[in-house]
Amino acid sequence: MRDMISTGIVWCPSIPSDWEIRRVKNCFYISKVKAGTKNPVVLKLARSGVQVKDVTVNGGQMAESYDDYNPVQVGDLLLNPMDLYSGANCNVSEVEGVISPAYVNLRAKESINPFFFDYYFKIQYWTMAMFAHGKGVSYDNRWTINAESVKAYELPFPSVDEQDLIVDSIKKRSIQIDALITNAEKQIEKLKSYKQSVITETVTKGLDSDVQMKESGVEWIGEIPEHWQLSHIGNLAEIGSGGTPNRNIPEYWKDGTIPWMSSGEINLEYVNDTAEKITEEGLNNSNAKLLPKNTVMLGLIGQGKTKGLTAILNIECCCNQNLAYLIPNRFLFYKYLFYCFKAMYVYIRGIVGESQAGIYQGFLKKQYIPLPRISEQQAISDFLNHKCSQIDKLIALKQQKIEKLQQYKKSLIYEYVTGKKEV
Amino acid sequence: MSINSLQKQTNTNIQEKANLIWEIATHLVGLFKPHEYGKVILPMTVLKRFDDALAPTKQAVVEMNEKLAEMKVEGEARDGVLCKTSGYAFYNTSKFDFKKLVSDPNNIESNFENYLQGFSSNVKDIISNFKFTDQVKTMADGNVLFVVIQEFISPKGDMSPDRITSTDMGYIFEELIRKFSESYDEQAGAHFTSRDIIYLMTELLIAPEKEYIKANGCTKTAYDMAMGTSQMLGCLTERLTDISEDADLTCFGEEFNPETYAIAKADMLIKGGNASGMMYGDTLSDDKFSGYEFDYIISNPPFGIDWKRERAEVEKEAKKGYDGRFGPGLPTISDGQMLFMLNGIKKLKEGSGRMAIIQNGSSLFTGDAGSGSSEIRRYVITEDMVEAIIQLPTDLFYNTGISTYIWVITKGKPVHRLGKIQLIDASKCFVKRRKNIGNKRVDLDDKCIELIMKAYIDFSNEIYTKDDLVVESKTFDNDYFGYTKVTVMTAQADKDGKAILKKGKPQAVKGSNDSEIIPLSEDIDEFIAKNVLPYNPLAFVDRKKDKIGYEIPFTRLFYKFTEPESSEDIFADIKALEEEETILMKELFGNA
Repeated sequence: MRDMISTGIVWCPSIPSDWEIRRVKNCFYISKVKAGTKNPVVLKLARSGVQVKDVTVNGGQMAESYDDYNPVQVGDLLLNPMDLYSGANCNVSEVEGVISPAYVNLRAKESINPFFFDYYFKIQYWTMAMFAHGKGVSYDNRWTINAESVKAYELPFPSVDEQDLIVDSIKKRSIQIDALITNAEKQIEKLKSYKQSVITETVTKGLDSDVQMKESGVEWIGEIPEHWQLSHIGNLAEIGSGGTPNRNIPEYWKDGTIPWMSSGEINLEYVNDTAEKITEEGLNNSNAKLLPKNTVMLGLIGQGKTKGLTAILNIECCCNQNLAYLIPNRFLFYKYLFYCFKAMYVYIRGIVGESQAGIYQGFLKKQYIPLPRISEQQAISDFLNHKCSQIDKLIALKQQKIEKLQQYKKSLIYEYVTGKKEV
Repeated sequence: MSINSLQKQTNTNIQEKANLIWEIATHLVGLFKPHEYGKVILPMTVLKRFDDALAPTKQAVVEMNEKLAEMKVEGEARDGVLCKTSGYAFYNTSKFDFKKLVSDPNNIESNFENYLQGFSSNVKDIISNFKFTDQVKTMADGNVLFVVIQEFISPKGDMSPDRITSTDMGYIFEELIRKFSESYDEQAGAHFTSRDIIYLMTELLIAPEKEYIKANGCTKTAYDMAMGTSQMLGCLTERLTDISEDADLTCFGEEFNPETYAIAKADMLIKGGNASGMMYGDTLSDDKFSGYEFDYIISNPPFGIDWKRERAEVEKEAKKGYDGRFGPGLPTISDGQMLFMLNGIKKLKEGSGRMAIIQNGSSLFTGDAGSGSSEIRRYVITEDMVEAIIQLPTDLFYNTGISTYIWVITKGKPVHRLGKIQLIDASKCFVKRRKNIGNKRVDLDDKCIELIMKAYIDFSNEIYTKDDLVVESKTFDNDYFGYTKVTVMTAQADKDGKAILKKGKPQAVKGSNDSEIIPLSEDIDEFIAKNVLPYNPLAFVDRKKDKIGYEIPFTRLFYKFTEPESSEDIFADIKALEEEETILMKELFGNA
């Protein structure tokens, strides 16, 4: 461990003894000139980096004139002084152009490595030190760090050689960590497709791979075991949709105790509670119906992902008019239906289309599903429950790992730019 | 009385009574919008209360009035005699009263007009500020005047003093005001500060004397410069009389909105308080209390509101320097809150006066060194008047979600606080409300107030916790907040890099001006030698351009640095996750 000294600066408590503390204005000019160029390259400061803004699209964004914009050179360090709480908001520009004067533009006075200070400021944003230097009346985008405070901001200052070494190390490590993150993200996508195919295969082919198969004639189903049947969903379940009690009548909603499911809550998959509740009166004076446990729900509309998604009620609950409910009869096991819907997701959306058009109940009733005996449906469901929960757990682990890797990257940057980790 | 016990009390018959009265508004449906019901119900309640109170002496007052007319006694003398006859600070000389009015339904409008004209001038002032004759006209045209008056005669409108004490009447009226204010919904807070905040302010005001008042009572004056419905004065009175029966508080206040002013005055009359101390006017341009001194000042003046309307008057007064209220300077035209602060300071009793005033964040930092706002801060700090500044949680007020601060300002700091300012961060000390009212999502309950008061009284550098509540206190020397803004320039140099001197003085490179903010505690020359010259040997300062500024960087002072978790530990976590992954992969896919 190298020799560290205390700085007395709250947001940068210690640095190696051979480093200095310098203020921004000792190392940088705050570049503030008016561009005045015709048709300049307009830049924007994004979290991923400084980017060229396409000013031809994005109607209305086409500023009359970029005269007031600030010229940016390669190597300028740009900071956002107005958004101090939602993460790092600075980057070194690797392109030339002009940028809105709302940003602070730091240009190195001598040969220093701006990336080193970019990393340092990222740390300052992450640890909320930038926020603490801000002023304003409310903590929204009016909470700003002023130029005076930026100019006087104290920076750890190693020799330029060491700056270069540190920047190289961080860049190299970042690339490696990012690669690991991308890899984990890809694995997650793969696992999701794997889960989808396991579900489809199992609900259409069953658990025994040795049985005789027959053609079903239904596109998404393909071949099914010979001893299975095919049936319209309409023959296997009571189907309907819900309703919304009048929002203008408080008695229907106020202090309600009956769970009422909205379309977005289809994403829960297993519904144990709902955000909104209605009253007995609301239930009696609307199309909402109280549904039993184990009812299978299906999203009927929604341009996003909602349409075609399915969920199971773990509680007695009612729902709005954009959800269909299916209460299976004795030939159909509710969880098997749930997995059938999961298998049908892409197929249903393909038929109905991605537009606003919804799934009609009539259409739904006429859809075929494969129908094994009820005991086999149960066995399939049990198998899929186990398999899906394992896959989900693995996905969760990988997501956790991604978060940890991101933290790890931040930690490394912090340790390098404050000299805790030696290059 | 604590908030909890008070709510218990108002939940019983007071709330019930207020509900009964408010129900009369059902007759107004269609004719008035819901947020206008109060414009009828509040003045009617005042009038009926007075009607009930005056009933026993009514006959005597009418007779005395005739006698006085014969004797040609007028003005204050007449007022005095009639008040003495009525037994109250008000009277009514009309031959009508509520009961007589309903006996003649056909002439109800003109008879009611005659009845209103019979009131003493202080009540007529309330009626006119409520613009009540307009409401009467609307009710008469809509054929509901009769039924509304009839409702007020029914048992639900019975407010005779032998059934309802003036204290209870005060609560009932306040409850009606609250219903009225809440019917405005999001605009409610414009003239309404919730009780929890007022309780905290009250505690802060009386803190140094609380034990003494408990034992001996007190005789004090209080003033609110933007009193709204006089809520704050009411709560302060309530709180003081709760501590000691021998506490006597005389209230004064000014308000610019005619309706809320009318409510304030009516409230005082109903409670039997100092109604003549309730004044209508614009505090900044038309000060009704010039030359007054008060023991306590409690206020929630508007913030972020410009003072263009009052500009001419304010600037005229500012020219008088410290003879006027605005001696230290004037803030930017866009925000008058610091003018209110100065108004309060002028009126604080020398040697002991205490003020609790709400400000938003901008009073802490707005304005460059030498600007009016900075000069005002410099004045209150260097005159040693700022005792404490408390940051309140956000989402505490009805009409705003932003950060707010209570400034405790005094002209009599206790010895242990001399030369020091206490900052208290109470932004994390709140309880969530079950239901929002406007922007108000959180409350200060008794525990919150206790914890904040503990921090205030301890006056040290400490973090206080109770259950989930956290309050942090820090104390600073006054000087800590001061700084010198020094102008630094770069000298023109010859080709050897040496400064060119003219008459022994360096010449600045055009556009090389920079400034340095140097805390008062640091030596300016040393600072320049250490921080500027090493990087710019040609730098020189022109000390004639020095400016002193004062600023309170509240958020920065309470910032806590948390070091990121060490990369080694995170790495260990990642490794553990990978091991788990391997096991799961094997389970899922076998050893393939």
